[in-house]
Amino acid sequence: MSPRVRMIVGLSIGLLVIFGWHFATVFGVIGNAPQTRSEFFIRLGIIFVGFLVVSTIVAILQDKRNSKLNMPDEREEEILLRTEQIGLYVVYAGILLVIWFSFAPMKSMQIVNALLAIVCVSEISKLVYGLLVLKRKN
Amino acid sequence: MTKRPPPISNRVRELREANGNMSQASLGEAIDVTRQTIIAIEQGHYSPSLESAFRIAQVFGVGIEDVFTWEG
Repeated sequence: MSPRVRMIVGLSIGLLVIFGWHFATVFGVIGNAPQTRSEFFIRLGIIFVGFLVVSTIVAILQDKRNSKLNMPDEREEEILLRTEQIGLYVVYAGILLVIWFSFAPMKSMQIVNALLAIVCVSEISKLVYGLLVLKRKN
Repeated sequence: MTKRPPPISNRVRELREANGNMSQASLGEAIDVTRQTIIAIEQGHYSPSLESAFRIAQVFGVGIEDVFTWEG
């Protein structure tokens, strides 16, 4: 497994766990979902810190013997650019969906969670697409 | 969505083998790309930048046209 693929797999698992936990509370599978603005911002803070922790762990697990391997080379940079493009398409599509559904009566917390879901799906799409392209070209 | 690589064939694998069976990792290190990129170049899935193409030729001590051929 190349360092880049290892990093993508690590980040994907981290994102799935963090957002999985948040949406599990939203759908009442575990614990309680945030109901007020302050609760929601605390939750956002937890998600942010969680993502920082995952990124740090992934960085620690990178190949320290050769720091060059941790930097994307020209092919990987090209792939990363394309993944950013995919992420943007997902965000545009998601925003259009939220606009469409916001004409029906929606609670503000539903809109907020829908926007958070767009961020989550966009990030995961980027990682999955990057992983597929990297694996296919190997 | 993936970009179709241009019709360029190469002799990277052949030249590696002719140069003391140089490993893909060593070649990658010599031209500042990962081993996976060397694999992708050899398999024709990826066309390197002009800079990397010149570097590959330099490593093997040949001209760029001895490594890469335009098949279009």
